[in-house]
Amino acid sequence: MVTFLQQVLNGLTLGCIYALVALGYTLVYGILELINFAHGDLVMIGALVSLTLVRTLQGWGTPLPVALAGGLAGAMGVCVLLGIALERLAYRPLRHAPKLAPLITAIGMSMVLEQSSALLWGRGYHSFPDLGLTHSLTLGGVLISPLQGVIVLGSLGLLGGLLWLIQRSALGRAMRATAQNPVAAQLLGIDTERIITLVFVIGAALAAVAGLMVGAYYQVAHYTMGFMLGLKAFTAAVLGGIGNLSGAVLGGILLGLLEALGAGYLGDWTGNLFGSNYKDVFSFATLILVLLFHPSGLLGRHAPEKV
Amino acid sequence: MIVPLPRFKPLWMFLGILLLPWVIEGLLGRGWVRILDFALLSVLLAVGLNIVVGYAGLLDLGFIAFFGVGAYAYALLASPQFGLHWPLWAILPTGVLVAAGFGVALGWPTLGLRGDYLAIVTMGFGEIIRVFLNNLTAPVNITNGPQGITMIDALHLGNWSFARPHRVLGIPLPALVGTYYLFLLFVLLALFLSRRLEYSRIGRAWMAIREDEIAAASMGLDTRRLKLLAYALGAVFGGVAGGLFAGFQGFVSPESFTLQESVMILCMVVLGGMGNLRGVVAGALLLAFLPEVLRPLGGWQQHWFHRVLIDPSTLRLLLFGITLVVLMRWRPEGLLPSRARAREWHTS
Amino acid sequence: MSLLEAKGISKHFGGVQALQNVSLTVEPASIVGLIGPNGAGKTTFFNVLTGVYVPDEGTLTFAGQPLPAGQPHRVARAGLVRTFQNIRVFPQMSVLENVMVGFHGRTHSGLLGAWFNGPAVRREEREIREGAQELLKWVGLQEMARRVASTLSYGAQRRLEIARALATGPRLLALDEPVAGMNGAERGHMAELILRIRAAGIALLVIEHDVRWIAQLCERITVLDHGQRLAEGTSAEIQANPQVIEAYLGHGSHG
Repeated sequence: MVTFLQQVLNGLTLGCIYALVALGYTLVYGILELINFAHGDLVMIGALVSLTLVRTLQGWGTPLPVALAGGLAGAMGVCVLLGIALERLAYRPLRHAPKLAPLITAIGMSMVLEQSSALLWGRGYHSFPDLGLTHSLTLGGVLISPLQGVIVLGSLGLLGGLLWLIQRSALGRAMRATAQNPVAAQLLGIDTERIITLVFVIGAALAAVAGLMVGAYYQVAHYTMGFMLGLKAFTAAVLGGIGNLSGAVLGGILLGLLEALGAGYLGDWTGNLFGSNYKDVFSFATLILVLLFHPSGLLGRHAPEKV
Repeated sequence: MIVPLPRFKPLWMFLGILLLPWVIEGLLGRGWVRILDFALLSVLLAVGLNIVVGYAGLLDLGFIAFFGVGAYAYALLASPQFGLHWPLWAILPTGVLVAAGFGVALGWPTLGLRGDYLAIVTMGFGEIIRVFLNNLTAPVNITNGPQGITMIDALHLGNWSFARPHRVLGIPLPALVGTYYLFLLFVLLALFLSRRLEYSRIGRAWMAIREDEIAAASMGLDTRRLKLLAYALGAVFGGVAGGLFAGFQGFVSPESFTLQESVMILCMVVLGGMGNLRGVVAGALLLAFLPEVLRPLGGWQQHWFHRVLIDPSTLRLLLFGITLVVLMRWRPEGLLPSRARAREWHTS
Repeated sequence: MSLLEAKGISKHFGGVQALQNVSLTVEPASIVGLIGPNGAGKTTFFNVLTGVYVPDEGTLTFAGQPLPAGQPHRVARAGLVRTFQNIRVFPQMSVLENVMVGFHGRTHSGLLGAWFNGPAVRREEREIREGAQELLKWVGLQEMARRVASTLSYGAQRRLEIARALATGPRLLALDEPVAGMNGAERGHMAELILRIRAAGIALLVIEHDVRWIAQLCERITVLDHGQRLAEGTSAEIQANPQVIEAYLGHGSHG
């Protein structure tokens, strides 16, 4: 039982991070029907930038909370700028090109971001500065680190705020209108290009937050870390129903739980043949199963293709 | 590329291709013949991916996985790993079946869906295959984990080993040149089969699906089956290339089958011109030689700055990424496009 | 026995009831019109019929067999084939190739056939080519066979779509607004083509706005409004039906 609760807690932490990243995928997909392959790499850049800044600031003797805030702000700034650049330079010119073109561009941009990071930060692993948040408390046998608390509460707060923004505000209404019918939205006076930029900004900012969190959680950052994370977050978005925001959150948390429990128990069930080293296979198998049996996801609606 | 009748120009071209390894050995040295051999395998891969991306219009980002499947199939059937030493003619059909099986198993759930799902699923598949290759060591040690499989039997037909030099009609035939001819044979066969498909009832159907899937289905085309066929065929080409790779290199490890390699092959196809064999061959050769051209860069940097500022392999991957983005923006049809493809890119 | 029998078809998207309990029959080698104001559900009905959408309720019987729901290619192979309101030719293929694609479901050469390209395969390919040329002649496009489809005029693309559909060897051809955007002379040509197709023993189901044009062609007309069947009858009955005049002709779309 204690093991179970422990895995649930770990899964929840991981799931919250997935949810933050999944939102970026689902926002962009909802409007452009484009899988932004480079999104996972923004998370990686968020992690590396915040790592570097926190280290530097700490080196100057800045107290940890300030260094952390500085790191987060810097990472968000860099990611948002990159997000905007990505949209303007790579995707916007291809708005009316055949579908293959933006997909190939997306994979190309992912490669560019990854290798540029390899140039800047080198090909090695960077250890994340100790935030002093890892001294765990024990609650009925379950280890909870303050960091986990910060990650879960912080991301749930962010996600809640964002969902509120999109469901309730005028800006959110404009975003939903653009997602449903860009042409009609434009006719109604919505500046759809601005909305698209905004979507990339929000996605990139969330990616930066997720980058800091994932870096702090695993205490390591590396220029290829965005790939698997991105793949999983995308799986989460599909699981929840791509294009659906609450779905992305739900899918993220579910996938996190599934993965943690899977990694925790799979080894026991199979006599240690399939241990946690197969945990990456888990999310992928989930993706295939969802696509096979319920491609519209948990909360997604099946939109008929226009004929 | 294909020579149906030995007309004048093709004849010269054919002779040029036959003599190429000798010229390269004479001018640049034996190391470059080895690079040329690997380049032919790249061509084989690119021609395979071209069926998927170029003909049927499906983006496959895990293509290297089929190369890996083929390579490990060869490695397991012809090495001390299981003590098996099957001959090439038995391994190749087995590898073909295994690769096609993987292709169908993966394509089946996704090909009924929108094309972009296939892209991400193939991308995931590529990584998952690597996870398995890295971990399938218990209960039975199948893949030998990250160390990979070594001491793989050299490519051979009967008593003729392609790893040893021979003497043909009194002319000494270095091993690498003999391998070149073997690979060339496969490349020519692949080109021939591709070309025949392109201008067949099936090729026409692929083109229709690429241009308007709903209209194609409404005209009685079983789009899912046709896409699956393209996908499985691509997998087969990749698998054969993988088998040859394993036999040529003598060892395989999961490291050779990363996403970067998948992107590289995609880059070859896109750069040359999706759907056009001539372009795909040119793209594959160009990019296969690129790392060799970039290799001295490290030394120059060492010389001028006393340290390596830009790692050549990082630079190579960076160039691949930039190439894809730039091409899609300004010349999506590639350097040597097929005519219909060029129109498709520029009118929608 | 009727060629096509649609019984009680319903289809909704989210909260929108696009079709409600719609029934329609088409007799062999007859011409049936399907009219109604914009948004009445005509195209949705076509999409259900041809397997693009799966109906929520209702049955579809074609030549005594149930139509495979949600599988356009099997519907086409069963002998029910359609054109599209917003023309969907294969834009970058040649006119001839477009029609050749239509023969796909009736021909057989596969992978090995393509590779070995034996006499049987070459014969089949030649038959496809000649059949396609024949059909192009039939719709009056023989001069354009080598042109790229997207370079054709609007009217010519409509005829190309029909030739491509005929290549599948249909027993029922469903046309979605075949004369939309055409002038009087072009409408006359299309009517003449439709009558010729019927004379060849192929039934037609035609969606159209222009009631006068369709009334001169069809034996029977079904009127849809708000996803429901408003009326069904002969052309004369429909034109005299006060409900139809109210719901549809009253909007001033007559002529």
